[in-house]
Amino acid sequence: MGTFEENDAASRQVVELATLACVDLFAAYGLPMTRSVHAADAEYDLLYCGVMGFVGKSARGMCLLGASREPIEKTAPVAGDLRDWLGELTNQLVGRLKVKLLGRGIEIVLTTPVVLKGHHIAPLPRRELIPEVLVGSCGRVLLWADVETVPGFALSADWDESAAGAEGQLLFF
Amino acid sequence: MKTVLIVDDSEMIRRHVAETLRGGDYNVIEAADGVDALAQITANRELCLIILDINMPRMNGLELLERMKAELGAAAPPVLMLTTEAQPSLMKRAKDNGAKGWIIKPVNPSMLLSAVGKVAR
Repeated sequence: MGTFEENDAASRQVVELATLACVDLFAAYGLPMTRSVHAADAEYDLLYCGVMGFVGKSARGMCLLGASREPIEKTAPVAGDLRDWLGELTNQLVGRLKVKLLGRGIEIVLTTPVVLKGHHIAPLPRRELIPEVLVGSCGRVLLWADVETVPGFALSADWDESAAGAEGQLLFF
Repeated sequence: MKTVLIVDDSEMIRRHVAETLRGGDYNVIEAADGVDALAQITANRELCLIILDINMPRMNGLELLERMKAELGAAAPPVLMLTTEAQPSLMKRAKDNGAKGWIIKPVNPSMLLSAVGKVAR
């Protein structure tokens, strides 16, 4: 495993992929979300957050999913424990990001999700990190993604569909 | 009534899958990881199917599959993987250790019931 360094271009690409994954995830649970253009002005107070790290030979990073209570409860397929469901949502979000990275030749492994609740929560990265803001009918979802890579790393723009399965897919062996 | 074992560390996922299967007239028991699942498999020899997550604490789903293959061989209940993972190398490892199918989350209840009907013994 090489030395990791900040990589703005790769970070932008990973943020974009994570945001698409987040939109798809909430849509899959019946809650359409759209990106807000006012990301930098986002105000957020009490957040429920799920954090998950990932690491591979060429890249490592984290995703932080934050939201008020409503969007999380709204996506739950059954009534139950908010903490458990937020952890599962975070797991599925980073799982979707993993699929998108796999399709571009990047293999990562995931940590287990950590769930937090607090006021004005934000990651403390090496550089300023502004969340992507998604807006839906019952509130906002904030998404931070950060990545460091080995020197010279570039994410392929080409998508190899055969590299990974798709969400919701059923395969028989 | 046929009994299905659901193995997932998320209580919400277990509850969602359990509700779906009970709607299809299956009896359901649950385990939160591979270690719990091994105990359930030992205690319930007539399982018609195991629905198995991969990323779990203590013993993950692939490790459980390998233990089942080593200890139960052909007597092991059929297994349907239900996971966020979508990596071909993991699918091959599951297939090589006896899994009959692979569903990538999220759970679609009608698809799940259909798959269970095809794979359960």
